[in-house]
Amino acid sequence: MTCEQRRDQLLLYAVDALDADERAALEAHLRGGCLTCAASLAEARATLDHLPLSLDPVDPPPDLVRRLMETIASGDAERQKQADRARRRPDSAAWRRILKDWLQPLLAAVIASGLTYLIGVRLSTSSLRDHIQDMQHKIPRRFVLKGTGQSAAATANVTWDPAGSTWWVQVTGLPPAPPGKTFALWAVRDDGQRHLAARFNTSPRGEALLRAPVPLTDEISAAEVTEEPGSGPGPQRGPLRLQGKPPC
Amino acid sequence: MGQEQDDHTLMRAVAARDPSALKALYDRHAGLMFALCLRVLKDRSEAEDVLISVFWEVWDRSARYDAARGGPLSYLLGVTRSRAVDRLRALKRHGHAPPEAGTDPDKVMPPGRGPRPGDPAQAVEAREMAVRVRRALSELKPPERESVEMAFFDAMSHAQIAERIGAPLGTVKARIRNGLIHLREALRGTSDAGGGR
Repeated sequence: MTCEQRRDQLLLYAVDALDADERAALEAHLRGGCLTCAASLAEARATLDHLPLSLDPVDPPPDLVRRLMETIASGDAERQKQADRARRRPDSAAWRRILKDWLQPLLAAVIASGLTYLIGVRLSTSSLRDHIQDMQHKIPRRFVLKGTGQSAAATANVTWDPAGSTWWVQVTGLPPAPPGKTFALWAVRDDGQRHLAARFNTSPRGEALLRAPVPLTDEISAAEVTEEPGSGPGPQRGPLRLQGKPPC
Repeated sequence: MGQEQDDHTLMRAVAARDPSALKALYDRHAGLMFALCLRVLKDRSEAEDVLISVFWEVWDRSARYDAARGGPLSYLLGVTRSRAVDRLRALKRHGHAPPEAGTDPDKVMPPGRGPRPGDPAQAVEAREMAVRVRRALSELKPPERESVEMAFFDAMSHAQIAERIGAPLGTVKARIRNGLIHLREALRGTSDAGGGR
């Protein structure tokens, strides 16, 4: 296929209308650095960029700009607090880096060495590798949930203990739920099923700390926080406030 | 912030953490961005949520805007569509499918006034561009226009479009391709959507 022939195909690519095989082939070609096709893609995207201009503007509700500026202000204030905390306690950030970069692999190596010593030369190389992987699965991991919409300034830091099937969650920047409502923490499995891990509310300062049992943590592909009615497990139906993905 | 500052100046001010610049961009372009959210999501509450998310992202990640890649309005509308489509797909995963494609998303909501005048020359250019784009779309064959709009605004794959309208897959791909080719030719020579440098 020539680049001239790809010019029309790039139009379909720009609007995400290609088959997976066609898309993969085209992306491989683009990764090869073809300037002609890169320019054609830019032209295709510029064409699509015009489409929203065909819409008639619709005024958002008058209070939306107030909500936006409040979100900006609270997000900046939260960021400033985090920066101040980091400046006051630089050692804690350094210790976290040391723990992640050095102590965890060192711990894994020490445990592996201890196992080798105890079990002796009869342990095969593949068994030792299996034991190291097993130990690594028991080392806590971390991921972050990010706020959406009017909760864009909120974050939740999740420390995940695979061995105990537990999430330790620290929420910041999330204003308390309205009266009669609470927040729900969901663990979403690979097959789409949702597990209600915890219900909680935040303090007036928008903070919460919680411990949530999450079975089958290896099958979890996403985590979400929604706003729900205050009682009853029910199906997940409330607005999405935070979302994120655990590390692979 | 003077009323006549153009969008590029406002984007630089946003990068310099001036909230009044973000508000000025909101006053100018939120109407069109909100209309885009409504067109994709067909739900006012979800559209409001996404609009706030978009402006938060513009504020929080102002360094991502690169004037060399397109004008401010093009950037704002691009981010808006991306986030709206992300939300649409998340809603579908949660079983909250929006109304059928083709449903009038505005319902009883009145149209907006259009962007507030900032830079007068920019406002005139924006109106002229909108007229040109609407004319170009109206000149497409109806099946081509329908397929292009379903692909762009409803984020439907060509397989989903084919199933929805009951047409063969190859026919849908041809309609999208031909529709975009005609649009590309009709709009050739225009500046980018945001008047980029």
